[in-house]
Amino acid sequence: MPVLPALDLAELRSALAEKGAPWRFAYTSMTGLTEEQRVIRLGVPLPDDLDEEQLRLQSEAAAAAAIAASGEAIGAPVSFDLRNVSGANYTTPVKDQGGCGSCVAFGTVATLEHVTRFTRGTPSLPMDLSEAQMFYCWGAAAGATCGGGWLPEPALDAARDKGITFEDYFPYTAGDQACSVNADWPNHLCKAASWQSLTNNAAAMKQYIAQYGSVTACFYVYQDFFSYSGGVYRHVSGGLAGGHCVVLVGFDDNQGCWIAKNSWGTGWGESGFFRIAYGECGIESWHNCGVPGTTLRTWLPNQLILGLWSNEADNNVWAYGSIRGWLKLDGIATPTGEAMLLELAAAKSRGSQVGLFENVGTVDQLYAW
Amino acid sequence: MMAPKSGTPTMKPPGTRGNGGTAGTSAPTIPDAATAGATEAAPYGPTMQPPGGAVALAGGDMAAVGAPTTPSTAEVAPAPTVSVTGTWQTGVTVDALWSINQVRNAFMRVVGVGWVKLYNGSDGAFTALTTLASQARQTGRPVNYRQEADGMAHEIYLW
Repeated sequence: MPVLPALDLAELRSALAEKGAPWRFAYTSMTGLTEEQRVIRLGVPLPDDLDEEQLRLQSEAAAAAAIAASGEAIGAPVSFDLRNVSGANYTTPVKDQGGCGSCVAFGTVATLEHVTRFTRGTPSLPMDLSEAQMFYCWGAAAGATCGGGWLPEPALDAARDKGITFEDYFPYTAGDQACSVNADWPNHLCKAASWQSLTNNAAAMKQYIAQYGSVTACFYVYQDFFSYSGGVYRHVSGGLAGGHCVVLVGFDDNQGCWIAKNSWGTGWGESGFFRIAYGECGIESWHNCGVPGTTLRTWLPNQLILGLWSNEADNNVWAYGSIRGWLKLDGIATPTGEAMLLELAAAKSRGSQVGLFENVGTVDQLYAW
Repeated sequence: MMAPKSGTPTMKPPGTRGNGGTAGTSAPTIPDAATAGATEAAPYGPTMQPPGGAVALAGGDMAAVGAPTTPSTAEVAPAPTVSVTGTWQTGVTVDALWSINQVRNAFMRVVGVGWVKLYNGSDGAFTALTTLASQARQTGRPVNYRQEADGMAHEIYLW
């Protein structure tokens, strides 16, 4: 679609004042860019037959549905914020996609990172996955480009079927490039256990967020959104600029909004996050996807063993690492698990660290330092 | 000194007095042959959190933060194949061990409880539980254990 002339901020100021200042605008990391530079960050292709009037009507219906699906009504909390679950922050740092329409990679990869941490109860687990592999390897193979963008569904198919390696194996830089990932990536990756479409189902979105930590969502971006710096966003001014993908990390029925993490750096919005009103800009009705679990295959950071466990079943010994929590020791053969148990027990008694290689919930290999 | 025919520990650790019964009196009252394999395997995973371990993970009490306490979907171990109805002892210490040259026959002595036989239904489970008990004895670290109606410890957490 053609790039619109940049939004007049004086017009935005008066529009916000007319509406009672529902949110704040400011000079953000996006404001200083040209409109072309801003729009390229919107990497979810708009439907060819998009009808803005139809979109407005859909938004009203979606808002009503999201309000009706209150936490109380669906058995979820009335509010949830992954940044503060009784004091623990399970989100990973805000990133900056730069001048590339790779938002789908950032929105889906952040979902994997958050779900991995939250479902394991490990807010300090190092989780920095490679958006570069997602976009320049899996995306590019499916036709994704910085200028053309991509969609969350095929991205999550790739996360489920192939997996995503960690950032150190293919660091992200903005701009179409070859898939130059470390050849060892199959031994250093995270996979989605599965994924499910939650589009047009606000109740399921809330339940997923409360249970698994995050949901991927796309929405229609209007020009005023680039200057958002805080509050509950509602479109008040400017034209439709494109489609964007983010990760939802919470909701608040009292404020009537979703809480999301963007990929435009910490100089935009509420330190990189934003709140958007229920029903606004198609946030519940366009490419919403939930991931109910992940698996890891990687060396974990060195950590202390805080607990060991076994019961009457053969080959069923578990160790509790200070960073990872409970993991089952290799159960291929009794002597293998027994050897691991002895090594970990010795490390535990010494208070020394161990290195664990996790393969889908099982310790395949270890170092006792 | 000959071991008693019942195959249970009779000695006390040096310098100790009775701590919950004369040594050997908490021994199984049914023959080993009947006990061995009497309980089916229950290959589920641990559900408790170590004292203080949750702090290291979550920066707060796990129960308080409401965070998941079970492994993620892909890691969840199979549900128990038998109902777990045993009695739990928590935060106790092991101050003695005993074993004899019979098939899978070892006991741990728990302070305040007495001698408790370790589950002997299979080599793998017996060896793992014995290792945990030995480590508990060596380090003096607290354990939680589940004792079933057969008198044996079927499950041990070593913290």
